[in-house]
Amino acid sequence: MFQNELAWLRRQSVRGLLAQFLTVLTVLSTSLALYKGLSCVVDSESPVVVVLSGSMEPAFYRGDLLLLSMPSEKLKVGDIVVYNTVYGGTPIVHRILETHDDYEGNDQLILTKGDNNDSDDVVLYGGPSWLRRSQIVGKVQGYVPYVGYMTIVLNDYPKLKYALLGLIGVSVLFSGEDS
Amino acid sequence: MSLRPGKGKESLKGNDEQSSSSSSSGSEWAARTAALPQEDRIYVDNSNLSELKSTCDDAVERILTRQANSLAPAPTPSPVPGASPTSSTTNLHDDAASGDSYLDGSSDGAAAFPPFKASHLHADLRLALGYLASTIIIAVSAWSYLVEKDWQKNKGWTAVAVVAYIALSSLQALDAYLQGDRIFTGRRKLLSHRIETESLIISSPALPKPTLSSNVDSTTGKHWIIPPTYSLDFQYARRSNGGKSLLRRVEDRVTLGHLGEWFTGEGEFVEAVFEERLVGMLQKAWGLEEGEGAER
Repeated sequence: MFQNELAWLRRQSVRGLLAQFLTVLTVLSTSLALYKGLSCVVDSESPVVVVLSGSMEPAFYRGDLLLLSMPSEKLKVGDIVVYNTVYGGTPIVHRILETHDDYEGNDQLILTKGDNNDSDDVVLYGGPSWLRRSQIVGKVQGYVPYVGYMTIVLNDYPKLKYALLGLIGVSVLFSGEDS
Repeated sequence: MSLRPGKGKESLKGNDEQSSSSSSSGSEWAARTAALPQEDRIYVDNSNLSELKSTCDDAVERILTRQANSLAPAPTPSPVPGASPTSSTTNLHDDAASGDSYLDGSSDGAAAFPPFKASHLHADLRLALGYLASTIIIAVSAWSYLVEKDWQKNKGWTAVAVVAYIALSSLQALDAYLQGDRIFTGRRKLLSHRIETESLIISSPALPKPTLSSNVDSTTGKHWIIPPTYSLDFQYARRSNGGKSLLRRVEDRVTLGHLGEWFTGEGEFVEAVFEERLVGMLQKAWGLEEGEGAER
């Protein structure tokens, strides 16, 4: 079945094979470079995130894609931010309720609450009563609805993720013939 | 894009229409390819023009750098005029007939075209740039994911890696753009009265569109389609005295024929025909007389 492809492969020189492999590698490295480049431009380690829970409804729903950036000025009450908790785990996206400057004046102490929650987030902080600016991944600047739902589905059903990766691999294998 | 009317074998008859003989062309090709073992025969997708073109482009370097022991099997003795698939253009046939003597597979015949030494400088440069760029960005991404996970600490090197990636990729793209559609760069040294160096650069321009023949297929009433012609632009220079004296310089385009003249209906690439055309037409264009290139 793969006779022609195998014959073609055997005919390739080392240089040709290296070139083919580089094409595949370039796809990976270009997407990485775009993602990291965006991270650097907006000063956020994770500039694109997907909403996983319904705690910010009706503003954001499960599956919405959020676009983040880290503002250079101080964060304000009403800003919607994504933050990491001290104990690790999934980042959380909620709205800022209060901000205070700390004693030295160069950091901010922040209190957040989900729009759809009854109480503020202190219990989520895992000990401290306030968030610090260093824990903030970024402020939500924009969003795209529904687009992130694919990520949720792939995470909930890992077999689909492997099936998709397999499909991509097979299609690259077959399209890689044309030099 | 398929060759209508009629795919496969029938499409190549369009060629034979002008030569007024259909059966002997098939046997001519069979003789040229029969000596090849199955694994050396090249089959491509007939309907994919870019695949056809890249097969030809790949063959150019292979043929021009091949050592004297040519793999192309011996063609049958001088074909009858009109029976050869090459006779679609009259002067080409004359060349093929006169060129038989140096491509008859015997050692002295094949040595009449000493091989070139190909230069892969630009291909290797692009590969090096591409691999370096990919390695840098993947390594720094892995480092920031596994080792230094704090964004405030790793963002400096991440930015450096992104800038390096953009710079290296731009250089790679620039080199590819400057190279254009070059498919071969090579040199060879000859010894006639003095040491001479020949340099050759071959570019393969985009295929033109297939043309409609004036002949009409009697069964369907449609015109035969002639496949696109395959041409190569070349820059040839002959120097001696360590490169100081220029003996000859030719810059021209050679048209080897249309794709149907060396691809069969099943999609087999008949390299012997292609080689004959390529070498014959290049030598003619360079103004080399027969046998002149044989002395080493």
